[in-house]
Amino acid sequence: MIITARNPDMPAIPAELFTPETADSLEMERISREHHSAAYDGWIRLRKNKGALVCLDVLALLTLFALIAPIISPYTYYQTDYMAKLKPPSAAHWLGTDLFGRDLWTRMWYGTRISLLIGLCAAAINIFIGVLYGAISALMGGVVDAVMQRTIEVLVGVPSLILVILFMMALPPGIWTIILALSVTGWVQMARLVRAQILRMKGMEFVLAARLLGTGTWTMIRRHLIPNTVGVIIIQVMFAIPSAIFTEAFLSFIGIGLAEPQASLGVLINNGYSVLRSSPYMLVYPAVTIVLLMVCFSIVGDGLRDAFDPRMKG
Amino acid sequence: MAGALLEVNGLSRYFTVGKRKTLKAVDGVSMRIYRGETLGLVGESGCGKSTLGRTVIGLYEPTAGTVRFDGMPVSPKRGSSLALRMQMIFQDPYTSLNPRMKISDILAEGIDNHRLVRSKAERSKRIAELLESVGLSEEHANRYPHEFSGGQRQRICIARALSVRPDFIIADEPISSLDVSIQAQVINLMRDLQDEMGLTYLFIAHDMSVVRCISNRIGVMYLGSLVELAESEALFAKPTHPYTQALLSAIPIPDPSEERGRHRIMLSGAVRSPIDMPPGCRFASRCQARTKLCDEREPELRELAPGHFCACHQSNCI
Repeated sequence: MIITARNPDMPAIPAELFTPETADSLEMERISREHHSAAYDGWIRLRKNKGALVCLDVLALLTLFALIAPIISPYTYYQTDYMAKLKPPSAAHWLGTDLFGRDLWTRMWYGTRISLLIGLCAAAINIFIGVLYGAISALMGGVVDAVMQRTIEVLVGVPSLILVILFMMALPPGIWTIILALSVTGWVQMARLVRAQILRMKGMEFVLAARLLGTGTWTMIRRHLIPNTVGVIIIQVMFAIPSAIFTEAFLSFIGIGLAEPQASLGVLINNGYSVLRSSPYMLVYPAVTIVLLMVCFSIVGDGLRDAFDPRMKG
Repeated sequence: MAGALLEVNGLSRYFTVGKRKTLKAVDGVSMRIYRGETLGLVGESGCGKSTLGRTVIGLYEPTAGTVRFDGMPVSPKRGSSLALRMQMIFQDPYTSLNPRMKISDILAEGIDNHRLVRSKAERSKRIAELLESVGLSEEHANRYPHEFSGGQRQRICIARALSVRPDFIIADEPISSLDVSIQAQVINLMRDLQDEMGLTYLFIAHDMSVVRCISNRIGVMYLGSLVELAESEALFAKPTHPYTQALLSAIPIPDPSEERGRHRIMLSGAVRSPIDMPPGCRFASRCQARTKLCDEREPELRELAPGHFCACHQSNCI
């Protein structure tokens, strides 16, 4: 039954039955949720993303093996044994041996280590240059910004592979040359991203409010701009690392990257490719590892982006 | 009336759009705001209300004209004494608080910048005071902005503006992104604070009934210039400019029988583009009382009755 105020059948409720209820203003404003920082909230969201967690574990495992396996192995990555070449997996050589009788288990993890090192270092240099370049470009504005952006466009216009190959030919081969070559163009994406983020924030109201409260340029950068850009940077790094690893593998595969007896995933894939008919397993190990690395970094990067910047979720 | 706290003289702010095209967002606005009053500023979207507010406070450099605050000129590179006396409340409470900072640090930003307190204890005492003055409590100080509702955030923004004890606050559509029930709360808070601290407001909004409720005087803007400026009641009783008349006729009356009889002036014609405006009255393209004079000469703001200014060739007396 719907009771309306005018229902004639209803007896009037005597006034003394009513007790005044006052709104407690502090109770109204109370936040019952537990206090979390934004980072912890992000972690809660990341925890719900099972795929990203599994990939994070896989990455941790791969890194652990890459660090420890070459150390505890009885072989070194360059130690040859012509009595035992191209052996299939056995108790002595868990993954078998290659054309020169080198232990593949050791070489595989050593190669993973080198690939990870190249990926991390290239990403680190990319962040450093990219963030600095992007931030300066956005903060200075005007002519400086225009010149810096045109420079980037010229760099993007030249195929990066040509630049990388030029570098590789000009400098002595080795890990550091590869890292340097990868850094020549790798920072562009980061610079653009940081610039866009800072430009967006410069017009945001909290930055204007801070200006009105007399916040100086450096304090503004330290207190407002950097903390709000960190998320974007971390996420970009998660995509920069696998791309550096992949480029290195590609260079080594076509023969202009690392040279024997150095090992990296690309070198190993190249070796495996040459004996694909007789010992296909030699190609499988490094190929699977590189796929795992790429996929895991991408999924963790996606997960981080969704967790820490839910607005960007697409 | 007592001396003007803020004097705006022929203030213009142009933006360059593309090649050799200028957008006249604010074009030759002159007005005075007196100590302790609330001046409401209304107008449709894109008429330059916010730009005017931001130019007055020095966030934008004026293209022409001057702003004097308490007798001193305001320039973009303001001295700290002025910075403390003018503050602003922004439209969107979701983007006006830094998501990475705790409420206590947000509120103390101005205090820290200008070393207004001597000790940590004094700092937290001041933060608690500020939170209390906007109806929040001390325990909110350690939380982050994302934990608050829109209305709470807007009150935090008010508290932040108050943190440096300003005389003058520009409120740039402070309630338009809030729920109606929360709007009343924020408006009432702003009025209480005004009585308590003797604040002066420039209240920018597009909701006529809200502006009527809070303002002593109201200015109506159209395409970058002030078309009418009058005491709040005088404006509602006798709107003089055709644009103001149309604007007021659009306000719904909260009484069905009267609402049925409400005559609404429907404007036809397109709003002129603020880019490369032709000479003459800005409103001419939509005005019903348009004459040849309106196309030739731009009307000046004239005082038709004491305190009632209007910029229209056709309205000679009230």
